Amino acid sequence: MRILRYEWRLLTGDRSLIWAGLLLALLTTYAVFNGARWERVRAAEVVEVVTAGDEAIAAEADRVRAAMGDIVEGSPPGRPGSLSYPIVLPPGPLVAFAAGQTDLQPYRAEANLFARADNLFASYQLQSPLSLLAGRFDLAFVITYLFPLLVIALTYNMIAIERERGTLALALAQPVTLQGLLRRKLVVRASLAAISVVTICGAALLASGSGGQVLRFGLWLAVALSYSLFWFGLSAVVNSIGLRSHTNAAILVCCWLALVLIVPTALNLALQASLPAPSRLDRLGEVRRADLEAQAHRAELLAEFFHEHPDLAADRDGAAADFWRWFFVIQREIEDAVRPLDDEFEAQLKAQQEMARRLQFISPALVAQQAFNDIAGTGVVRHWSFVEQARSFVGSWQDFMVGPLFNDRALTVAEFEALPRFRFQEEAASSVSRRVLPGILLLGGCGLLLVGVAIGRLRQYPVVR
Amino acid sequence: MLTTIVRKELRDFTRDGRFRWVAATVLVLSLLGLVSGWQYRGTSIGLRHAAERVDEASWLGQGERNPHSAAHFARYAFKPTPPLTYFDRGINRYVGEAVWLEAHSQDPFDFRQAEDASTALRFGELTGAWTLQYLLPLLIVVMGFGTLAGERESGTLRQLASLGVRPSTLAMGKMLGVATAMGLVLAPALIMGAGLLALAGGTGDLIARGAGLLVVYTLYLAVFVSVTFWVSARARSTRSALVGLLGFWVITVLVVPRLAADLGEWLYPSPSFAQFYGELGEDLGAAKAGAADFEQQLLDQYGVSSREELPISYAGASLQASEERSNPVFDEHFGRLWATYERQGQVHAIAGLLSPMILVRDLSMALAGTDVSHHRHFADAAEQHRRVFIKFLNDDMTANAAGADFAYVAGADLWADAPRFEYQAPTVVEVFRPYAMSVLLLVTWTVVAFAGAVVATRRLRIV
Repeated sequence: MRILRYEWRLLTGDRSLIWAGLLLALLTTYAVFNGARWERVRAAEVVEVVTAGDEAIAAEADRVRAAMGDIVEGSPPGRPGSLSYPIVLPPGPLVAFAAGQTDLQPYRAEANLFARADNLFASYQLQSPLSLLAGRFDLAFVITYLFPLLVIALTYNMIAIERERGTLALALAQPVTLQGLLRRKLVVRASLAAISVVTICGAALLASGSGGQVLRFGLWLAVALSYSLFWFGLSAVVNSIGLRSHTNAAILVCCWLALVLIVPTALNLALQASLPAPSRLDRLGEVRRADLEAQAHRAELLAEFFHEHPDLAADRDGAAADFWRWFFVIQREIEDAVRPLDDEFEAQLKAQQEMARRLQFISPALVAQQAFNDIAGTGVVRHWSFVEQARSFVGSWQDFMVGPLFNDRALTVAEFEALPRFRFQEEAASSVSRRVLPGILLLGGCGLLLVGVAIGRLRQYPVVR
Repeated sequence: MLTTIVRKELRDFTRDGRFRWVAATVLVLSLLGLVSGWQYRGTSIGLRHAAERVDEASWLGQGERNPHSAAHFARYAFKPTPPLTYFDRGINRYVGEAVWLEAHSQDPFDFRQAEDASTALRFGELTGAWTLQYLLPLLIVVMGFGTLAGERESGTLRQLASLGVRPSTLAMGKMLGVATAMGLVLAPALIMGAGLLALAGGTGDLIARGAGLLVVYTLYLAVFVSVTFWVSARARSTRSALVGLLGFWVITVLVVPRLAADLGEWLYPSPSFAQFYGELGEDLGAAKAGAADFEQQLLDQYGVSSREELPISYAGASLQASEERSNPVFDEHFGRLWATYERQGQVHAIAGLLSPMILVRDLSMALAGTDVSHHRHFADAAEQHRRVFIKFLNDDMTANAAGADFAYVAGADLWADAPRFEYQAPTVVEVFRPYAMSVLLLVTWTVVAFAGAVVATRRLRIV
């Protein structure tokens, strides 16, 4: 117990450490504030877009109700071809913690009769390319990049400094083993780190509007703590080798550089070389060819459509003269023509992402980052789930509208009330936890293993040089 | 005396295992970055050529149709791959590769590669530029942090002083030693980079860009060598020199660039998609509503009393009139968007006061032709072409579709006559103006850091 108290006094007496801690606290505050701001911007936009969509539908329903068969001014009310509904992905439950790909990936689309699966997400974000390149300053960045450096600063000279000052032999003359000394020093520093992690993340939770996300927050803490534990373990091993303290520091910084910067970028390179993401330029040509093809054969397409949907063929002649019905059939044809290519495209993309997911285990920083994104709801899995939900919503929207379109009539008031509306189904936190648990176990397990190795190695530690 | 010191330093480095490791890493990574960058460039060029061919074939082979229907099919403009992409990819993956030149609307760019990348992309891309920006300074720190403080600690500084070596000569020799060692480590990458430059065309503009990159990265190297010696001369121990320098590296290379990006977004927020297109749509609507008397003007101009009597196609004329009313609205809104990006860029440049890395990154992208101003140059050219192209189609309809309007069809001859998009990428001189401040700041960094190092070594404490 006394050792613990002395250690605490020594640590708090180190001025440069205090400064580093303060700087980290300052940066963290900024990250938390910045994340909360991003969440607010996003949430407000979603509310705005959905409200506008609901209002437009309500206004159109009112026009139908008011018209009741009379001729009205402007465009005829309630026409299926002119109706649309916004598809928006709400910000992830903990987006304030990890912005992930939210500044990059499409998060909104529009369901209407003429939307196709292949161009549903054509509209995208207008974030400045410079900030996309730099990446966002969020809590995930602070923990993945900067926190390990604090751990290194706290631990690089746990034993070496005692030896360099000549106090190691003195300390060991007391009834304490080297192993015990290291263990206690580790405990002091690790609890200091753990307290800061919990404080930082707790503050972030309070600052953001994510108070209800208990399980996700718990997972986040588990990732952050096991990631720190990994770095403590690594540092303990380096400490146990018995080099001088600034050599320890140099080795640890090189490890950090390799694991946090070089390995992830090299992995990027390897992925692009072995499983290149398919090019969308390639696909564009196919879409345009299909477009021309469908335009050229539109009479046959319409006939074919009526053959497949005899129930919609009541107004065959009207349909042949009407642009919107043509247009609908042509879009379906393009969609069908492009689908095989799209499926292949997505399969390749998913294969690359799956490979990235499997190879993440070569760098703890990648494990932590992917887990953070998953927990925050800003990762790849949630994005694909959004894409699928959006497509299926467009399908049900079009199924709903195709009858009125081909019968050349407006939607009834009752139909307006039954209109499908897009609401994103969030993945259950428990299924997120199944996905991130292997990473947590791996990081924590490695950390404990490394501590064990370090304590074992201490037997050969050169107490005096 | 100076050459003796330099030679001694170099000998020390070659004997130092740490240096060998770090140097080998930097060398391998920079070569790897260049090779993969060259491959990336080749792939991009190939994809673009293929896409251009398909686009040309679809356009010419679209058969008989109304020119306005063709204007809705339209064409794409594909952004060329700048030759120096192999060195620095800049914002390339984060802006689109092509833009649709359709009627009625100036579209945003399509196909951003970053959307399809794994999340690991955000850790950075291993390119020549990345290696130099991130790892080069670290290599200098590792090589230089102990040079002065270390000699003091081991007592050899006192010996040297007794021999009559002036501290400033000693420091200068050591700085030159580090710089030479760096040069040797980077020489293979430099030779390879220059060779690729020749392969990429080797025009005057390219050579100017290559030379600019050499200057920028030499200044960057000079800043970090100077700062390293400054700190090493002032530090009480090698340990505090190392801690201080690593702190400097983390803050300038990792922290400030992200902080600056977010600060820029905060001070000058980019509009959301909904907001941007909502406002654009409103203004477009207003511009079109203000032109209700277009029909009357046209009738008066031709001295007739109804659309049917017009010798031209009313639909064609009104489509073109609508384009012309929309164009200033697009100019205004997109101009505002670019201005927002520019202001955010200025925030970055000011943050260059705290981080030479930001300055070097911006200048490197600008010289490589992968920065925002090159992108804008292309976007503007594509939009100007869209207007000419759509006007060509509308004019044909106006002249030839009198009485027929949308029932009129044109054929392959018209598609073949339509203006082609010929893009001439800007020379470095044309787009470098916004970077004057970054150049100034980088030079200031170099001068201040060097002066600091000189002063600190002059006052070097021997014991």
